[in-house]
Amino acid sequence: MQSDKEEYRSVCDILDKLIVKQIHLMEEKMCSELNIESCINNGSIHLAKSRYIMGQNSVSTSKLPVENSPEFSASTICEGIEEDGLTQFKVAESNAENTVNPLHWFGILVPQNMHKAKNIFQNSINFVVECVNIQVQLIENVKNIVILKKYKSMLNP
Amino acid sequence: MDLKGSLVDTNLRIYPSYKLKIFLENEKLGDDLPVNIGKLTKGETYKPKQNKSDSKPSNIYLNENDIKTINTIKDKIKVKDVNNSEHDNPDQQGNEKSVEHPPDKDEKKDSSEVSDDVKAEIFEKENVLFLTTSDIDWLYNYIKERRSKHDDIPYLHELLEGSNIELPKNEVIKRNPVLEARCVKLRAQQEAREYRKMTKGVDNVRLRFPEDSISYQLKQMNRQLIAIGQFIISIFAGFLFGFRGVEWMVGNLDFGFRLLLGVMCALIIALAEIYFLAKKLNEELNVPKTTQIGGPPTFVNDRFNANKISKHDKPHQD
Repeated sequence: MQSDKEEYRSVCDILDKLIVKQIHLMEEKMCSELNIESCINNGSIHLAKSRYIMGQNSVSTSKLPVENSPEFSASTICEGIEEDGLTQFKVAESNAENTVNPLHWFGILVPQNMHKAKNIFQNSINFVVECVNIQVQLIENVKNIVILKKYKSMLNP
Repeated sequence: MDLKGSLVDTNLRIYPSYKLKIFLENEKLGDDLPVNIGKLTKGETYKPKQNKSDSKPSNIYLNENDIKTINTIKDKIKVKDVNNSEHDNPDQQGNEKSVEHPPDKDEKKDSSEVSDDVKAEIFEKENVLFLTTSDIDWLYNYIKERRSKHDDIPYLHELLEGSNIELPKNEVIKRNPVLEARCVKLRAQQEAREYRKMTKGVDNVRLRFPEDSISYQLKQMNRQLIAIGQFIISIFAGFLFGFRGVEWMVGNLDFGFRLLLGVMCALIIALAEIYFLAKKLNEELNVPKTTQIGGPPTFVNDRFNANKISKHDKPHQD
């Protein structure tokens, strides 16, 4: 009986912690989404500037690869790492041979803004991965809460 | 057409449940409270003390023991689930469903999927007091401390049940009226231009002003070329005057002096000519009126140019 009470307490304590964690995670996720937003905004502005410089035909969707263009492999890939029983993702450089520099779609001598935009967009991948990690934690946390609540109701009918 | 601005304040708003309010009101709280909790318990006018002791050990995060406990509990639950599902499957499914969306779980998911009427309701509650994340942290520590002394203090997650967590909303940016007016104007111009193009073939007056035919363009180009040719010829003539004409007038002159005279004359004439040439070329830069619908093409700065020409009465007019 005593151990049951003890367990009930610890479960409740963990539930408290999980709830607080959940709230923190929600806030964190918003922050990271905000980061993504500002990052992509910045990149888009640079892209727009380079479009202004180069003319709207030389920087447009018609320059992007289509379905029947030659295939190439992604230059950035994600790796999953197990952490506390959760899969967390990490950005990694790909070692594949046939990667493509996206700047070459728009020509060889591209304005400085285009380089900047590329870097910013590349950086935004990190934010996206961060956001995904938080999302994974959130989902896991919700699951944990559900399980613990179930357990708690079993302990204390 | 309204834009959504980005979030400014990323704090969650936690509207406390009735239970939590009652709990807080019954507690004898000290003076060093976070702002929002203070406001909640001691009225709107509560002001926090300046000397905040933020150095509290934050033990709100899960430690390894907790994670282990969670894992063991998970295993237990799973084992039980498997047992259950072996016995009666349909019941299990119903059970799981009720666990997935327990009524008290709305604090987690509600804010993202509030329907419109609920939103309106929340909107009305704009002045209702709310807690933020740091307040919850504080509350957790406080409750833990209290529980070490008294046993009957309720747990935080029980207190929070039924609370409403609201995500901050994006600010809606209204379109600037100046921009709106400009858009309307530009759209009107565009439409007028299209209309003009469409009705070109049936307008008698404009048939004689074919601005976009090749001959018209060539004529324009010729006019400019002639102006430049005139410029070059007059400079050459000026040079010849200085080089030969003066010699013929006054008699034999030194070659170097003649050359100098020629260049001087040419220079003076070139200066004057450049002035007129620039003026003439500037005139050509007429922008057709974009909102005009019928009649011969008129230009935006026509009146302006006409005034200028009549004033100076310049010699280089076609």
